[in-house]
Amino acid sequence: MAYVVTDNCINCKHTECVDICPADAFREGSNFLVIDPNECVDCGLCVPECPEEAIFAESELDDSDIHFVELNADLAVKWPEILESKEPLSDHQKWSGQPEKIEFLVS
Amino acid sequence: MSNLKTPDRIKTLDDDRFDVIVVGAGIGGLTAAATLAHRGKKVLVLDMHYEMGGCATVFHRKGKAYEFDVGLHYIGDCGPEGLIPRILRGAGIDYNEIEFLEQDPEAFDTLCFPGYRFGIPRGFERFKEKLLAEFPQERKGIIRYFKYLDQVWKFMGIHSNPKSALWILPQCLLLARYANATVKEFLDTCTQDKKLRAILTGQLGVYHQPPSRASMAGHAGVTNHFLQGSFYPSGGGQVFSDKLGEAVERNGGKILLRSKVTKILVENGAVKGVEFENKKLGTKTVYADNVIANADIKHTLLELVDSKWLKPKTLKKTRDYEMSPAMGIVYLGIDLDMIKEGHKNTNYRIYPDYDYEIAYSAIFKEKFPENPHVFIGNATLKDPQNKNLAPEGIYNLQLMSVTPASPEAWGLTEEEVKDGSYRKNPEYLKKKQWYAEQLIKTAESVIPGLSKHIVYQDVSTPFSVTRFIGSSGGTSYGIAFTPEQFLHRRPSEKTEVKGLYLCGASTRTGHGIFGAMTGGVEAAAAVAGRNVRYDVLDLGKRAVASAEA
Repeated sequence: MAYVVTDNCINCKHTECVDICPADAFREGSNFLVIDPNECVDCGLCVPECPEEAIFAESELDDSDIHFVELNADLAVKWPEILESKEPLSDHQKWSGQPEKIEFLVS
Repeated sequence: MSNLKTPDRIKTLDDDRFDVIVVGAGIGGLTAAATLAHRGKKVLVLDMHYEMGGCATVFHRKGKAYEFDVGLHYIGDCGPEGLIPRILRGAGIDYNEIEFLEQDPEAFDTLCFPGYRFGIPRGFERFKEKLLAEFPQERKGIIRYFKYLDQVWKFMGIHSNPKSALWILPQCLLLARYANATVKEFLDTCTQDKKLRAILTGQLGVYHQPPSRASMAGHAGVTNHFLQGSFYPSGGGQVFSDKLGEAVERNGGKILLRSKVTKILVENGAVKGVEFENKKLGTKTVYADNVIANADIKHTLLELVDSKWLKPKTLKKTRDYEMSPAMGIVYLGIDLDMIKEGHKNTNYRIYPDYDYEIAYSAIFKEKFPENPHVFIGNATLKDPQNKNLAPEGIYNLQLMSVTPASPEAWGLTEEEVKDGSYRKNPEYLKKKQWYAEQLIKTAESVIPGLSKHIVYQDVSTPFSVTRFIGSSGGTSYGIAFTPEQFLHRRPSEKTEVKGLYLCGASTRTGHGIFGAMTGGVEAAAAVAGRNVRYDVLDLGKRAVASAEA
């Protein structure tokens, strides 16, 4: 169950999604955010908040990004909660819209 | 209307002055807000949840693959001249804006006992006829019971047409004699037949008190409501709430969700406004001379309003209210073709035997009943065109039962409930699983093979309810449905604070969708004048549904 943060977030990490989440489900890494599937209530409010359109419902993912489901679940166990939004990463403009950023993910 | 973008309901607020502020976007609050907005008042509705509708909301799972109703399972009296459409019209919502889908008129509630079933049909006369045929030896008692029901129906019409009291009251002598009776006390004067009594009280899950404690007059009101026909709004409970919210917005009102009201501000005994917290907007104050509180009654009067503005008598009365029991709900996705298996569009009410007192005795001792009463609601059969309910070929079901509400009964402490950590407690999670298995086992007697076809399962508890709508003891039904807490003994829509009004499950009109909506109209009338009530509700003209379509 849940919504999933995918590739577009990497190296941008705007964190605007965090403020709207009623379930405090976001977890923070250094250049990526994930959603804890055990806390997510599937409200979908985060989706329109992301300027990079990085968030999808699990049921919307296809073969090319389905691996993000497990990635979110695994990293959510390790990473701390983030409850307040902060500034996006300093060079988010350079990374915005870049495809296949996953190799740069710092887990 | 459909091509207008939905206004932001989470983080923008352009004004701080309104005519009316509604605390809580439950069905009562939304009805009050929409009715007042329709009459030109500038209305703000605040709610801490991310959906509007209070108990009449849905939640999603697996992204948006599943959509489950939290509280709207079926509503009575939705025919063209019915109570519900009248109230919606009063809020500026046309009859054709919401499609009401009727459940099986021959049996919308199917009572299931070991070796015996009885379907409750639409129509006062049809139900009476069915019972007379089934229990010919109880003819006198059945006629007496229906006489009481009829008098309650007539009596309720007086409220919106006071002149009619002149000719109606003299016809209500049986009601007058047993106005404060429990269901058991009145039934004792009708019949001793256990099976018949079980049928007459077989819908008690809609108010959750056993016959020895339930208000007979209240029971009659509820029974009458559903005998007008059982309906479900196409698109589900959220659509119903959203339509009311949209009605507020198109008349210039504002809905702001994820906004928890922390104080109702009073100065010199009169309401000034409210203070609320919103993650994006911070702590804000908004002003109005009228505040309608649709939040939990104890939270409203004991926490939101400074106690110096309320009489000690009021505070004590509020503290002492007994809340209704709470429920646990098992949400299922099943891959069983229920139509092929012969299931109709009915709600199953499964009982272990004819004595309902046993299960409730356990509940009042904060214990899980050994043999629970189980209600099965089937969203897919009620709303077959709705593709949002579940993936293709999967049926969307809810199994409901009454449960203890104390943290201890669920393996929790009060602190864990307060700080939200209860959700991860392993004892609690084990208990939820045990509870689900208990209800599924019971439901299997009516849906053979159920347990082998479950593809999705989730469980809500009283604590889930408190988490999202803030009710005391996680109840959905307000204060207990007893004669001691019936009608004028419940909080009125007016309070002793000028400009502060109440609506919702604990007020005089009672709980449930129709109780809360009627209460919303009452609160709107308290603000804008009694004509609101007469215009919207004039029940003198209402048609009585017959068995024919």
